[in-house]
This record gives sequence, C-alpha cells and structure tokens, in this order.
Amino acid sequence: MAKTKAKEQSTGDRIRKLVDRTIQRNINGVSYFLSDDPPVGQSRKDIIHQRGTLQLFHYHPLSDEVYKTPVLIVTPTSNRSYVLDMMPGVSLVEFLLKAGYDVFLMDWQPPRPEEKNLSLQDYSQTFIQECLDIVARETGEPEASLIGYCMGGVLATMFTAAFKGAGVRNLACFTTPIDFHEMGMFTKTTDKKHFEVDRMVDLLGNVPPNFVLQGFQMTAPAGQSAAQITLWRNMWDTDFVENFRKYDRWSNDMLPLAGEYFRETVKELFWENGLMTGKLRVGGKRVQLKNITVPLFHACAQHDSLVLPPASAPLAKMVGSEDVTDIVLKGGHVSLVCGANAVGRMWPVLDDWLSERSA
Amino acid sequence: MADKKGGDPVQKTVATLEARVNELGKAVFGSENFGKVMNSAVTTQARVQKTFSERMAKNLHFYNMPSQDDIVQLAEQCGRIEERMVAIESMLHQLLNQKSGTVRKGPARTKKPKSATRSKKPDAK
Repeated sequence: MAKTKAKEQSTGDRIRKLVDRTIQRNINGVSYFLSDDPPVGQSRKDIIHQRGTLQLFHYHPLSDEVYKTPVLIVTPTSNRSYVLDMMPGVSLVEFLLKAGYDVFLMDWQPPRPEEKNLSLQDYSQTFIQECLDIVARETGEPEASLIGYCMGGVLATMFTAAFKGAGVRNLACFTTPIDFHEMGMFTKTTDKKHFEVDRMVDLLGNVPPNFVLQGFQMTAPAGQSAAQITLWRNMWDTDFVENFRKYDRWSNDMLPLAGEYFRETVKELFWENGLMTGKLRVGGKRVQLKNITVPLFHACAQHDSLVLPPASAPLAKMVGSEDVTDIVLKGGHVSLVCGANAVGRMWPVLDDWLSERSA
Repeated sequence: MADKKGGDPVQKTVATLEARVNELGKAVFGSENFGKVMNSAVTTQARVQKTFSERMAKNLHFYNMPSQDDIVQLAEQCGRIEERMVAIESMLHQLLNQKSGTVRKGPARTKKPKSATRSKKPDAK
C-alpha cells in the first residue's frame, strides 16, 4: 500500500517536474533568441595603453595588500580576452585579484587593414616589451610574471627565450603548443603540400575570423551540434542557459589575424617547427627554449582537442629552468582556464605556485 | 543544475555519438585529398569575397554611399583619436602623480607568500 502511494507520488512528482521544465524551457527559449548578448569581462579596469590591435588593461585591485611582482597576462591572438574574465566567480582575473596579485592584461582588438604587416616579431617581442615597460612604470617593479594562454603562451615563451628572461620573473603557460607537428588537425590543414598561405595572405591581407573559426570547428566537427542538443535538454535551467550563452558567445567571437603574423606562424612554426628545432629566429634574435631560465609553470588539459598534449609537453622538457612545474589536468582547452574545472583544479595550483615566487 | 550526471543515458548517448562523429570527421578532414579540396575552396572563397566587395564598393560609390572601406577608414581614424586620448589620459595621470608626490597608486606591495603566512600561524599560538 505504502509502496503504491510512494510510486504514485513519484509519478506525480515526475509529471509536475516535466511540466515545470517544459514551461521554463519555453520561457528561456524565447528569451534566448530575443535578449542581447550577456555581459562579459566585468572586472573593473583601466585601459592604460592602446596601439592599434593592442590594448593594455590594468585591473582595479581587490585586496588591501598585493604581491610585489605584478602579473602580465598575454591572451591568444585569435580570441577575445574575456574568456579569462567571463563572469564574477568564473574569472581567472578576478581570482588573481582577490588572491592579491596586481593584474595587467594584453587584449587584442581586430587588426586594422593597415596592420596586415604586423609580424611575429611585433607580437612576440615589440608588444610584450612595450607592455612590460608600462607595467614597470606603473608599478615601480622591474620584473613581472608573464602568464600566457594558448597562442598567448607561445608569444610569452618566445619573448622569454629571445630576451633570456629580461624583465620576466616567472613564466606561467597554459596549453601552449611547442611541437607544431603534433597539432593534429591544424598540422594537417596547414600542410605545406597543399596549403598556399602566401596566396591566401596576399589576397586577403588580414585573415578573416571565419577562416580561423572553420579551422577550430574542424578539430571537433560534432561539437556544435552536441552543444545545441545539451542546450535544448537543459533549456529549463536558467543558470545553464546563461553560462552557455557566455561560452557560446566567446567561442564564436573570433578575431581576424594580421596577415604577415599568420604567414610567419604557418611557415616558421607549423612548417619549420622552429620552436622544436631551435632554429627559429625572430627579429634577428634566436628563439631557443633552453635560454629560458626563469621559474616555469605549465598546465595542459588531458582532453584538449585544439592543443593536443603531445604538442605542449616539450615545453617543460626543453627549457633551461631548474624550477619547473608541469601538470596535466582533467578537462579541455577552455575548461582548463575557465569554468568549474578551472576554479577547482587549475587556479588554486597556479596561486600556490605563483604566490611563492611573487613576494 | 543541468542534467550532466554520468548516469543520464541521453547525455551519454550524445557524448558517444559526438566522439564517433568527431573521429570520423578527423579522418575525413585529415586526409590529403580533403586538404587539397579545402585549399582550393578557401582560395576561391577568398577570391569571390574580394571580387564581390570590389564590385559592391563601385556600386555604392555610384549611389553616393560609403563603402565598407570608407567605414573602415572612419573607424581607423576614430581608433587613432581614441589612442591619443588614452595616451593623453595616461600622461595626465603621471603628471598628477608627480605633482602630488605619489609615484605609485594602489595597495602596498607587501603581501607575503602563503607558506610564510602558514608557518607564522603556529608561532602566534
């Protein structure tokens, strides 16, 4: 008798839950299509420097006392920087500010047509040097910790290697490709045998974001459809929809790439694999990883479909630093730095490592 | 929050399907033939895009309307003005700081590493 009642109750509960969810799904579904893009990158900041595609942010501190060494974040050139400041509670920038770091961030705007000649030297040397000088002027500290994510990590690594760590106290990289012959789909689509990078760049100037986006989507062709199914199934959950929209906005919000920079990246990194061979020369300087002697932190994601773990693994092995921390964490390319996975796994480890080397 | 529990059969099926399609896609997209086709498609797309924008610009010019290039040029000029304003603002901040005698702003840069704070705690007891 009691069993039947409980069963009836659970059936009733289930029906009620189903009806509730259906109603909520419709409400959220309508607002999903009608409302504006959700706000992102909300941590308070000043733009302290701007030059064409480059903007330098200085975030307002969120602690009474900060570490001596400021942090300069180098973001990937193909994506918007707000992935590191997605929303309160899910923002690496906010986390670092609350933990007591003085945070600066290099943000990229779409390069103007006249900036099609910006080269690998501009991105990996001139811009970073310029920002380090401004950070030093603003803080009075001659050295900063460089943090780079994805291609931002490549730029930070190249800078530190080319200048033998001048102005850099620590280097922290997340999912940073070094062996470009292990980049899976990217290596295949940019294959020298059929990819005519010169023709493409000469024709277009800057490489439009849809070409870059296509490349990213090809690494996981079913990703978009699976995400839409997951969204539909969770449409009743307002928080899920809100978060989904923020990530979806970011993943489709790609930046064009400066033509010359793209050409050099393909030729020097993908074709010649210059960081692995140690033969890369940028701006007359040899970029050899063994010249990096500052403390290094490297984190990569086990299920990264963009930068495969074998592509980033050589970094920790090839640098000349004695103080090296190399970790592989669960998650994917984005969840490593943003989202619940990052909050619980990567950020605390980074803070433990960085705090010891920032006072 | 969302239905993301490991036990959810629909979610599991979606994940399995996604993995299979991704593998299949990688096999197709990674082939040399696909690379060749893709390259010529990209080049053609780029050429069509360029030709179309040139023709459109001519038509717009005929109707006395701004083309995308004109708007880009305007945006560039606005960008340059904005850059100068940021530079002026930064110089003003520096001047103000110099006048008031404060070289640096913000909190004191005296925070100690976590280990130092941890090791101090037992002594305090």
